[in-house]
This record gives sequence, structure tokens and C-alpha cells, in this order.
Amino acid sequence: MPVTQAIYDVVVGAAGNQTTLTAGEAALSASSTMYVKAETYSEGGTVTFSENNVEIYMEPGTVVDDAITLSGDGVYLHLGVGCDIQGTITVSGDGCSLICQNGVDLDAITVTGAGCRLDGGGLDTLLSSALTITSTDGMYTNFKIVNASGTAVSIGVGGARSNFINSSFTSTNTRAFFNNSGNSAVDILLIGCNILDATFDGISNSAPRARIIGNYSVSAGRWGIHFSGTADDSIVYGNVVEDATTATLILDTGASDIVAVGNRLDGAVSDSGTSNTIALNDETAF
Amino acid sequence: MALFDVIVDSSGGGDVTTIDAGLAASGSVLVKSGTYTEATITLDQNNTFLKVEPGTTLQMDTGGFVWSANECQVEFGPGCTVDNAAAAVSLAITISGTDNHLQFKNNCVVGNISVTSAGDRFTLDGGGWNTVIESIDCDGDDSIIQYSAWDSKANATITLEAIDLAGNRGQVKYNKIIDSDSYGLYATGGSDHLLLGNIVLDSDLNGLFSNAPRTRFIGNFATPATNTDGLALAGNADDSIVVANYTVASGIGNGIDLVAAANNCVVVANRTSSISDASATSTVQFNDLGTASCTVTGTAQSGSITEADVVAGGKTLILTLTASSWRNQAAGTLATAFQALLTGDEGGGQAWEDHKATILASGTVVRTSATVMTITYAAAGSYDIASNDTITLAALDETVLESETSITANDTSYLITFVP
Repeated sequence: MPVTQAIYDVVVGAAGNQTTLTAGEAALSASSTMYVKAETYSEGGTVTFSENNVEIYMEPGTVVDDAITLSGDGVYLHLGVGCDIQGTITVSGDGCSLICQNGVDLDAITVTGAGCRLDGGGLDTLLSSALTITSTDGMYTNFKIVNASGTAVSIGVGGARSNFINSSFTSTNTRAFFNNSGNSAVDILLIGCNILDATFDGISNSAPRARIIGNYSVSAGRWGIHFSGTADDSIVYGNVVEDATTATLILDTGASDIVAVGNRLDGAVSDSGTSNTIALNDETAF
Repeated sequence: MALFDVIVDSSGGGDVTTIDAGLAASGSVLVKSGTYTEATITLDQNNTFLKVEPGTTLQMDTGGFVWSANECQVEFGPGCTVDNAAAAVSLAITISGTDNHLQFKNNCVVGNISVTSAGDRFTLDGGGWNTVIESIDCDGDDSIIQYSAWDSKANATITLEAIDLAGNRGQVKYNKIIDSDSYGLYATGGSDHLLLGNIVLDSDLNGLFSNAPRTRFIGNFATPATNTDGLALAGNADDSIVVANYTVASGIGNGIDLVAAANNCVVVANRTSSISDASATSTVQFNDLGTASCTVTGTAQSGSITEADVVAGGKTLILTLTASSWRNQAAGTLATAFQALLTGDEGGGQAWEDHKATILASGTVVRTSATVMTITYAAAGSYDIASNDTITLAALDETVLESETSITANDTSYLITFVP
């Protein structure tokens, strides 16, 4: 017996006890484990993991042609280096995890479950489409997005307290990082990220109390960092904004009590808001 | 060939049926999913790797999970529960070994954790904010605590801060404190801590607190309960840095509070409700306190008072600030400042001006909190007016405010009526 079958409840692969992901999922029960051998899986439809608290390990180099949905709570999906998931991953269960080793290829990810975690394992884990978030308390770290057909990171209504750490976002079509929730997705954190070559805005935020700290935004086609009129009480500290075509840091009418201090900017701050604290920024052209 | 040296299965399918038995020797141990009710689980073999399958419940009822070994890793799959049911012993996990790693894979529920002063270089990773831990009391050096949610409960046997740091160089990053029955994040000792990107939604005492030198608060968020500080630096927190935090207090409390001995701190670029800086040596600049205002209430404001009221004393003016804070000063200094700010006009007479040193004597002006100033007129027996005396409150300035930006109160005129 292969050693994996002594450890895992379900092993998927030609030599496993299930040959397809769909069959493997059907064999899973709550609180069980699955091991997926490195093969190419063409399931003909979305693979949905609906049981709560299951762990799924995909071997390095596994290819899945289809979409994957994590709908159970606490589903933990681990992708080995070189895995390639060619359909959208939808995370609708609460407390789910998508943990990658560096060098995984992903398409789009949609997160609607609360308290989920995405860790790319490094900036060679690449999403080629959008990360879309409409749920609270997510943690998104160590991955890269290059989206040629839309926004790289899109936060909608319900995305409060989302955290983005040590990642890289590019949109060759529109905005790289876009909190478009109005005043809904409050209290987000964007820290230590690279915002590269957005054709429109690098960072655009509409919700109150965002913390934008220590990021690098370069070559935005319009605005480097943008706060709309509902983004009150946000903090912009320690960021570098280079080569923003229209404005380096822009605060819209109605934006109030924003702190923009200690940034290296490629031009003057455009402040149409009220009672914002703007100080100690270096605005000399690069 | 086996991947694990020992398989623990409570249903009898493994090598042993209890986790405590499975940890008798070092090596790798797999715990199959199930419920394990054991008096005490002892991890005293160095270089152990313990992997617990998802949905497993560890319910100790005497000593908890006692971990004295060094260089071990313990992983709990999603949906695990780790608790100690003993009424007199509330610690679920006690760690005294060095160089250990405790990993949860999100969606877990965990009781209280204690890391003793011997437990240096400990790492805890909750795996995401759906792992909820009651509290950690971490006394070892060089600890990392990250990616966890916390909800501390009142308990008579242990400290109740959600996260309590007492060793040196602790790093607390990207945690969410749902609620704490005490402080939210409490750096009570040691030095050189980094508190980065944490969020405190509710705490009965200060949301973020340090009494440790050279603490770095960066990018945190705190909205504690009423009448506590959002972020407080105590007397030993010299040379600390507070940048890019959002901290709001309500009632009697400050957004950021530096006590008298918290010297040479840097407080810059924060969005906060108020700042109280009693250190006199710290750099406090470019923080946004919101749109400042002052509302006046009290018995001397609500309607006209008479000459007899001033003679008797006891009438009050209560000045409440929004988005600003009162400078913390000695009673005599405060009284002198308000004698200059409150001026009288008796229609040519000088009664108020002649008596205000008595009416506003030292002790009559009390800084009730960072945002509330209470003025209680002292009795002025010889106050005697021949016509109405109009008292005017000038714009509040840096003689009484922490800020250099002056504030005009919503009501600046108070009448003392002449009664023949």
C-alpha cells in the first residue's frame, strides 16, 4: 500500500483509491483528509468541496482544468509548487485556507467566506485574473496578480477588515487595487505591497479608516493613490509613489481627517477634502 | 515504510489510543481525527513533530497540554478544539521549552496559552482570523504571534489580557482582538517589541498598551470600550514609536496617552481621537484629531445666574472637547489660564475682573479627562454688581489645549444678572 493511503482518508490519482477529484470529494466526510497525486485532472465541471474542516493536499505539478469551490467551513487547500489551477477558485465557506508553495499558477479567486486566508508562498505564485473579495476579516499574503482584463484586487461591499500584505498587483487594463465598496469595506490594511504598471489607478480606496503603509506604486496611468469622498479617517504613511501620470496622491471632495504623512511622492498632493493632515511628504519629481 | 513514527487513533486503529502515550518518544506523531479526553498531555521529547488531523477535539481535564520539549512543531488541522475543562486549571497549553512552533490551520477554537520565561523563540500562527484563542501570556524572548483572533474571558486563575508580552523583542503581527475582558494587547514588560497591523475591536481596558522601552506600534487599529485609552504608553515605555495607527477612545480616555515618564517617544501620523502627552520630552506631531469643537454645559451656562449665585459659589461650566484634548497642567496653571479666557463686562463695572482670581482660584478648574474640563465657581463673598455682568469665553488656545489650533466653543457668553 502506498504510504499516502496509510495516512490520508482519500488518495486521488491513477494509483489512488479515487481517480477523479469529483469522486474523491464525494468520498470525503467532515474532518477528513485528501491527498491528490500530481496528474492532470479534467473534471468537466466545478469541483466543490462542501464538507467542513477537511485538509486537501495537491502534489507539486498537479494540474486542474476546472474551477474549484471551497464551500465548507474550514476547508484547507494546500497547493504544491508548480500546481496549475486553470478555473476560478471560489471560497464561500468561513475560515477556509488556500495555502500555496511558491510558484503556483492560478486564474481568478473570489472570496465570500469570512475569516479566510490566502498565502501564495512567494511572488512566483501568480494570479492571471482578479482577486475579488466581499467578505470580512480575510488575510491575503505573499502572491502576485497580473490581470490584463480588469482590476487586480477588487474589494466590494462586505469586505471590512481585509488585510493585504507583502504582495504585488498589476492591472494592464484598469486599477491595480480598488476598494470600490463605498463606505462598506472599512478598516482595511494594505502594507508592504508593490503596485506596478496600473493603466488607471494604482491604489483607489473608498472606505473609511484604511491603513496604507509602506507600499510602492509605480507607473500608474492616472492616479498613484486615490481616496474618494467617503474614505474619511484613513492613514497613508511611508509609501513611495513614482510616475503617476495625473496625480500622485489625490483626496477627493468630502474626504476628511485623512493622515498623509511621510510619503515620497512624485509631485504635489491634490487635496480637495477638509481638515486632512498632510505633512512631511517629499514631493520632488523623480 | 511509514510517514509517521506513531499514529494515535482514539478508535483503536493506530499504534496507541491516547496522545499522551503517542508522545512518549521523539519523532513524528499523527493524531487521527476524533475526540481525546485526557487528564494531561505531556510533550517532553525534543524534536517532535505532532500533526493533529482536522476537526479533532483535545479536552484535558487536569493539567492541560504541558510542553517542555525544545525544537518541536505542533500542527492542528482546521476545526480543531483545544481546551481544559478543569475548573481550577484554566490553561489549555503551557509551553516552557525553547524554539517551538505552534501552528493552527484556521477555524480552530483554543483556550488559554501560557509561554513561560524559559520559552524563548516561540512562534504561534493561528492560520487566519477564524481561529479564536482566549489569551496568551508570553514571557519568553523573541516570540512571534500572528494571524490569530482573540477573545479573552473573565477568569479567576490567570491574567486576562488577550495578548500579554513580558519577554524581550516580541513580535505581534496581524492579529484581531474581538474582545478582551482586560487589555487588548498588553506589552507589560521586556523591551523592543514590534506590534504591527493588529486590530482591537473591543477591550475593557486599553486597546494597546506598553510599559516596555522601544516598543514599535505601527499600523494598528484600536477602538476599546468607553473610558479607556486606545493606545497608552506607561512610564517604562521610553523611546517608543507610534506611527500610522488609528486609535479612538470614548468617554474618559485618550486616543493616545503618554504618561509623565514615557520619555523621548515619537508619536507621528496617527489618526486618533485625542492625545494626552505628559512626557514633555516626546515628539508628538502631524497627528489628525478630527474636526475639533467644544460644547459648553453646566449650571452657569444653562440660564442666567444672579449675583447671589456668584457670592454663594457652586455654579459650573463644563467644557467638553471633540477631536481635541486638554493640556494636562497643574491646578494653579489651569486656573490662571481660564482667568485669562473668561472675561467680564458689567456695563462699565469691574466686578468679575476684580473677583475672578477668587471665583476661579486654584482647584476650581479640574481636568476631568482629556476631553472634559469642569469649572466650579468658588464663593466670592464681596462680589457686588450694579448691572448685568456678561462673561465671555475667549477662543481656547494652546494655553489649555494640546493642539496649537484654537477652538471657539459653541456658547461663549454667560450672563450674571443684577438683582436690586
